[in-house]
Amino acid sequence: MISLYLERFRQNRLAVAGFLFIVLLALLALFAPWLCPHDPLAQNLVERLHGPSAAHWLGTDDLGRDVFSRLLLGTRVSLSVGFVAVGIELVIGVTLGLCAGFFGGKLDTLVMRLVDVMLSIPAIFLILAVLAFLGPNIYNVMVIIGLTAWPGLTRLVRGECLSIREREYIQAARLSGISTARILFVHLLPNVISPILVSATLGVGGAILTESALSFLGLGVQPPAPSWGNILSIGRDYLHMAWWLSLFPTVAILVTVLAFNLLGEGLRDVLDPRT
Amino acid sequence: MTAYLSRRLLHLIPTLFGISLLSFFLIQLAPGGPIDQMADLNPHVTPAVKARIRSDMGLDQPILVQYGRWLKRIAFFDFGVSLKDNRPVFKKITERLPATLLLNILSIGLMLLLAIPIGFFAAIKPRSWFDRLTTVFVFFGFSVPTYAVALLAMIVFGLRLGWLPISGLSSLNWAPVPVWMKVWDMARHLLLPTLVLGLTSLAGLSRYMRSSMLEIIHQDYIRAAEAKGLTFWRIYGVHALRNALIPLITLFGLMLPDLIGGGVIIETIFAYPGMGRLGYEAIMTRDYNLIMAITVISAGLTVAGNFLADLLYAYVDPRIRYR
Amino acid sequence: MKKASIPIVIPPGCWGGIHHDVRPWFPRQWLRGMTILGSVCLISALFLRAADYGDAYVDSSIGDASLLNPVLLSDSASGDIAGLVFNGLVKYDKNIQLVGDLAESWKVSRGGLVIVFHLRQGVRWHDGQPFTAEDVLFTYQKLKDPKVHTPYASDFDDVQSVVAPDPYTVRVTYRKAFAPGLASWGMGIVPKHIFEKGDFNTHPANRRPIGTGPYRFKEWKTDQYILLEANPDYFEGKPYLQRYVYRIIPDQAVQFLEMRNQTIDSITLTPDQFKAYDSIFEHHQRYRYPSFKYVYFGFNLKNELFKDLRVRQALAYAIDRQSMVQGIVLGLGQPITGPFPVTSWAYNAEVKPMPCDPARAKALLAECGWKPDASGRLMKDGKPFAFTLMTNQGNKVRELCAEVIQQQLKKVGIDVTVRIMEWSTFIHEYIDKKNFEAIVMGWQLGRDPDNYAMWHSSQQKEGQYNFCGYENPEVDRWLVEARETFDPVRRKALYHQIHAHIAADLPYLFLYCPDELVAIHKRIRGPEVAPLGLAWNFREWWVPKKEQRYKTVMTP
Repeated sequence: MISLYLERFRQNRLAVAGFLFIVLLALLALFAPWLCPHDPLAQNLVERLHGPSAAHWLGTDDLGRDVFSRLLLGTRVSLSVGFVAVGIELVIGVTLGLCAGFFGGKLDTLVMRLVDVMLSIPAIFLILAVLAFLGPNIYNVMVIIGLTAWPGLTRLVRGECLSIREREYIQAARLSGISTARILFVHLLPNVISPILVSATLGVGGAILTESALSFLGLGVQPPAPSWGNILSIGRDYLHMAWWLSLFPTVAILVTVLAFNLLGEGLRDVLDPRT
Repeated sequence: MTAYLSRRLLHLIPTLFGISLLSFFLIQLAPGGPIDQMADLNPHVTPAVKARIRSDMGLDQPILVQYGRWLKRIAFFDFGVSLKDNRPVFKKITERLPATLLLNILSIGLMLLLAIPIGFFAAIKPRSWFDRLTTVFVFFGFSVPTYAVALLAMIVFGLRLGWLPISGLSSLNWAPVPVWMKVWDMARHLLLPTLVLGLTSLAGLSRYMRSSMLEIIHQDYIRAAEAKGLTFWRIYGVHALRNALIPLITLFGLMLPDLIGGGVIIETIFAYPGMGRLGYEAIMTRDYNLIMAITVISAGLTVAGNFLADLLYAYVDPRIRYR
Repeated sequence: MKKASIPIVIPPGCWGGIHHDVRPWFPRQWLRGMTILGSVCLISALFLRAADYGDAYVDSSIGDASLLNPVLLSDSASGDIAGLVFNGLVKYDKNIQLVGDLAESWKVSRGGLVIVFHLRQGVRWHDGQPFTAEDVLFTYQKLKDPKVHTPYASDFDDVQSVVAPDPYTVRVTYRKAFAPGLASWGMGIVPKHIFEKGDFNTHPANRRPIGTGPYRFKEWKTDQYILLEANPDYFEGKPYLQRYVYRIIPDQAVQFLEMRNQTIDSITLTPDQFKAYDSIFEHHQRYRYPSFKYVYFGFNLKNELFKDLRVRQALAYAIDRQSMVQGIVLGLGQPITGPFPVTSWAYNAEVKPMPCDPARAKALLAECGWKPDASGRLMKDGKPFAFTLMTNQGNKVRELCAEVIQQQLKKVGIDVTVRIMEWSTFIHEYIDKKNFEAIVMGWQLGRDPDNYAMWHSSQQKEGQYNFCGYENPEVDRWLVEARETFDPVRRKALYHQIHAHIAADLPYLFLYCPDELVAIHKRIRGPEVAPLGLAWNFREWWVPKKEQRYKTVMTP
C-alpha cells in the first residue's frame, strides 16, 4: 500500500520538489548557528544598510546585522512557529474531532458548538487581541496560531469519523471489547489520516504567513530575535534605499510556503482515493 | 425541511452567547484600559482625574457586573459608546461595514470569475500542462505575503506608471462632480486592493473546485450521460459543473468571518476605511465596547451567513432535506 | 506679510547707526536717488508679487482624530485639527513667548493672584455668532465639570474663580500664584451657544466643530480624511491656503510613496528617509528642527546600585552620547544636559555635557569599590555590577538606545540585561510601582517649562511622575518659586539653576533630543524654522497662482 502511494507521489514532480526543499530547510535550521558567516545578533552601526557584497552576501539591515545570517537563524523561528502551531492544532483538533465523531450525542453537540463559536470570530482578530494583550513573543505566537486553527481541523475530522463510524471493521472492534482509546487511535485514526496530513502540511505554510503578517503589525516575533517576518517588516521602511531587506525574506517566505503548499496538494492527490 | 431549519435556528442562540462570553473574558486579559491612551505619562492627568473618568465609564465595577450590564444593553441592540470618542459603537461599525463588504464582494467576485474556470479546466485535463501551470500560479499567489504584493503593486502601478492611486477610497472634490465620475474614481481606488486580495486568495477556491469536479467526473451518471451521447459542454458544463458548485457553498461559510473582520493588513496598507482596521485600532486602544461589538456583530453576521448557506445547500441538494 | 521671493532691499539712507563723520563714497544726490528708487522697487514689489490665495494643503497622519474638541481631546491628530479650528486666549509666538490670541492683552496683578484678560472685539464664531467672555466662562466651567472627560482639569486646580465683568473682559482669580496658569489659557475656547444644549462628551459638535480659528470645519470622512476651509473673517486675516486636507494613511511606508507621488504635501520623515537620495525629494523641501522631546536613561534612585552619585557620574562618562545620536538618529538630533526642550528659554546652554571618558568612568567606579575581575566584569563584595534596563515595546528608538547602552557599558565591565515590555504592563506594574532598576524612556514636553510634577520630591507617590525618586530640597524650593513668579527674568534664572543642579545630580542620564524631520512640497512658500517649530506661521503659507495644484477637483 505504502509503496503504491510513494510511486504516485514520485510522479508529481512539484510535490517532490517541495518535499526536498523542506528537508533542506530543516537541515539548514538544525545547523543554522554553525552555518552563519556572521553573528546574527551583532550590531554594527557603521555598516548599516550596505547592499549585498562579498562580506555580506545578502547585505546588512538597519543595525548593521548580516541579513544572510539572520535569514538562516530565522529559518529556525519560522519552521518552529509552523510546526509547533500545527502540532497544537493537531493534538487538540484531532482528539476533539475523533471524540465528537465517534461518541456523538451530547459530546458531539458541545464540541461543535465550541467549534462554531471559535469559527465565527475572525481568526486574525482573535490572534491580534491575544498578542496585544499578552505581549508578542514567539511562544504566544505559536500557541495562539495553533489555538485558532484547531476548530477547522476538528470539523474535518469529525466529518470523516461520522462516515467511517458505521463501517464493519469499527463495529467489529467495538463488539470485541477493545478499549475505546484503542479503537480511536489504532483503528479510527489511520483511516482519517489523509485529510489530517494534508491539512497539517498546508497549515505549516499558513502559520508562517500568519507570523509574517503579525510582524507587519509589530506583533510577531520581536527583534532582536530574527524571523523572516520581522526582517521583511524592517525592509518596508527602507524600500527606496535597501531593496535587499525586502526581497530576500519575501523570497524565503514565498518559496517555503510554496513548498509546503505543493507538498500538501501532492499528498492530497496521492491519498485521495477519488483521483 | 422546517424541522431542519428550526433546529439550525435554535443552535444560533447558544453560539452567540458563547461568542460574547469568549470575547468578554478575552478582554479581561488585557493589561491597561481605554483611558491609558489619554492618561499614561500625561502630566496633565492626575491619578484622581483618571479614577474619576474610569468610574464614570463604569470600568471600576466587578467583571460579572460589567458583563451583566452589557448583556442587558445588547438585548436592546444598544452596543454602547466607543470609549475613545464617545460615539455610538453601532454607528462606527455601520460606517465601515459597507466599505469592507464592497471590497470583499468584489474580490470574491474576481475569485469566482477566475477560480471556477481554472478548477473546471484543470479537472477536465488533470496533470496536463494547464493544470500544472495554474497550480503553480495559484499557489504562488497564496504563498506570498500579501503586503509584499500590495507594496509592489503600489510602486509599479501607482508611483512608476502613475495609472492608479496609491491608497485611500476616494479622491477629494469640492466642486460637485457627476455620479459617473465618482463611481469611476472609486473604481480606480478599488482596483489594486481587489486585485491583490483576489489573486492571493485564489488558490483555495480553485483547488476546491478542481477536486470537487474531479469527484463528480468519476461518478456513474456522468459516464451514463456520455454513453447517451450528450455534447461535451452539456455533460461537463451543465451537469457536472452544477453539482461541483454545491460544496463551494460551504466553503463560503468558512470564509465569512474573515470577510468581515480579517482584512487588517490590506486595509492598513491601502489606507482603506474598513472593519479590519477598526477592530485593530479598538484592540490597541482597549476600546472594550467596540471590541465586543465587532466580535458579536461579525460573529452574528457569520452565523447568519452560515445559516443562509445551509439553507441554500438544503435547497440545492435534495439529499440533505430528507435527513 | 511674508513674501519669500522678494529680495529685501534696504535703501542706503535708511540705515541707522551710521556715524555721520564716516563719509559714504556716493555723492549725496545719487544717494537720494537710490533711496527713492529703492522705495519705489519695494512698494511696487509689494503690489506686483503679493501672496496668492488659493490651493489646498494636503497633510498626512498615521491615525485618525477622535474628538475635535480642545477640552476633550488627548491624541495628536485631534490636536492638529483643533489647533486650526480653535483659538485660546493666549498662544506662543515663534520664540516660545506668550502673546495674545483671543485676548488682546492681559494684566497680572496682586503678585499673580489675579489675571485680567482683555478680549478682542469683533471676533465671530464660524457660524457668525459673536465671541464674548461668556464663551470663556463656559469653557472653564466645562473644564471643571466632573462629568466631563477632560484630561486638563488639573491645570486649573488652583483657580478660585473666573468672572466676566463685561462681555470682553475675563478676570481669573487664583488661590495661589501659578505662572504656568497663564499658558494654560492657551486652551481652545469652545462656543457656549453650541454646547449649552446637550451632553458635552457626546455632542455632535465634537465631530463638526465650530470655532474661531483660521480654518473652518468642512467635512470628516471617518478614517479617510478631514477637510477644512479657510475662514475669510479670521481676525488676523484670511489664510492664503484655501483648503486644508488631513489625509489618514496608517502606514509610514505608504505615506512615503504618496509623497514621492506628490499626492500629499507634508510628511514626517524618519532619519533614514530624511537622508535618502536628493532625487527622491525633487519636489519637496526638507526641514529639520529640534523637537520638544527627549530620550533619557533613568535610574531608580532608591536602588542600592544607583544611590551613589559617583556611580551615576561614572555611567555618564561611560556613555558616548554623540555616537548614540549618530547611530540612532543618524546625527539628526543633539545630546542634551537637562530636562527642558533645547529651544526653550529655560534650557541652560551653559551646562556642558559630560564627555565620554571610559577610563574616568572606571576610575570613579573603582573609588566606589567596583573592581574588575579576571574577565573584566566589575565586582564588589563578590557581586557583579549587573542590572536590568527596561523599555517599552513598539518604540524602536528606545530599544536601540537600550541596546547601545548595553554595549557601551559592557566595555567598562557592567552587565546590562535589556528587557522590553508591553506598554501598559510596563507603566502600571513597573514604573508606577517603582519596580525597576533602570529604564530608557522619553518625555514629550509642553511649551511652558514647569516640570514640578517630574522633579519635586512630593510627586513620588504611585502613579505620579517623579518615579525615579529625586529629592533635592533646593531644587524643590526653586520649582515652587518658578511656578509662582510671573517675572520672566526671574523664572529664566530659576530654571537655569534647576537645569544646572539636575544635570549635576544626574537622576537621569539625559541622552538626546531628536530633531523633527519634515518634508513639505516645494510649491508651498512660507515655512520657516523657528524655536517653536515650523507651523507657527501656517496661516501665511501660500502658493503662487501658476503652481497651484488643487483648484476644484483633487485628482490622486
